[in-house]
Amino acid sequence: MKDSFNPSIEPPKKTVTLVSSDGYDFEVEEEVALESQVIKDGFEDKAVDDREYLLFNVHSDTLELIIKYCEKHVSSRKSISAAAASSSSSNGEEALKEWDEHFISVDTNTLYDILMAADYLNIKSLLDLAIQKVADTIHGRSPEQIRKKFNIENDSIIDPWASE
Amino acid sequence: MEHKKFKGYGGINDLPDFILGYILGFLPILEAVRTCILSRQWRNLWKSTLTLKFDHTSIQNINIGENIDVAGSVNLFEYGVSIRVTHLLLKEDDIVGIPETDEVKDIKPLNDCVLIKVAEAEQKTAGGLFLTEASKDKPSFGTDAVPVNEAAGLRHEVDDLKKKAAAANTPFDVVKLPRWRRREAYLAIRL
Repeated sequence: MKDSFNPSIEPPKKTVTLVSSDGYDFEVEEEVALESQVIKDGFEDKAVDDREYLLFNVHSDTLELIIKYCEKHVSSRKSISAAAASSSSSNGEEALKEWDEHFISVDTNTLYDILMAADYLNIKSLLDLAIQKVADTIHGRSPEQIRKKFNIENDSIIDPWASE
Repeated sequence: MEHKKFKGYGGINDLPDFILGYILGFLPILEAVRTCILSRQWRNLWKSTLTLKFDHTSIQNINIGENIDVAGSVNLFEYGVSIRVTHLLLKEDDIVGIPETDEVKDIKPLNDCVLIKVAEAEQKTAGGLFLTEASKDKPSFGTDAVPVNEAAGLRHEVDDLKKKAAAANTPFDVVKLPRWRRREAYLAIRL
């Protein structure tokens, strides 16, 4: 008899191991890892038993932040949809936005690392968040201010068409 | 096993160009175009943006009776991506001048203006926006600020532009847009 299946008993959580560029293992829940489109695609293509991903371009410091972001978004999505199902009012989306804002308020190098990792792993929402953050620092500044802010040397005055 | 350490970007210049282009797509169009004067690396970056963001400050409705406003339509063909930017409308204040010929290679950029050639507005939509028609080889038109002298050619124009720009204390720079339906496009905007 196959009726021993009991839906109230949750199956053990499936996990995926992400290995950072400097060799640290991060064990995360499958649904968290699937926030990355790249890993998701890999999942669909490959055999299911392939549960280790080497991320050559992501340092452990950055990977930790990325995982934090993905975990937060997975859990927030769940609580938002749960709140919607029970038709109770929820400010989950606003809270998540605030959390994002706080999350991305990091120093410039960390921001670039997150940006590159989000691009590498193809996590669209995080990439947009990081890009928006950089764009905000450019927005409203004069060219001279931008040069100063980002340490850009103006080498274009002499011969603007040399490259053509 | 050697692990590549990916920490520590020297600065925004170390980000790959496609990321920088992506960033520019989050800026209003004039600010995105304006970054072309930052440095050599940045000159063509804005063309690689997948989106150009228009807002109320970059798109101005213009009155048909006033020829001081300029409407243009620009197609960007870069990296095999065709982006159609329609109705790049600029206020008179933004326009320093427009040269007639395509020999813009002689123009040297000055500080913080860009020069873009635009096509003449020919049609007007119901909403009051001007449309351009690429099939007709209409010349660009100048503005009241710098009348176009057809006989003089570009050199004169540029000298004229420089003089006027210097007089008004608004130096200009040059940017060459990608081909707009087999025509080069230049436009001067004050930055």
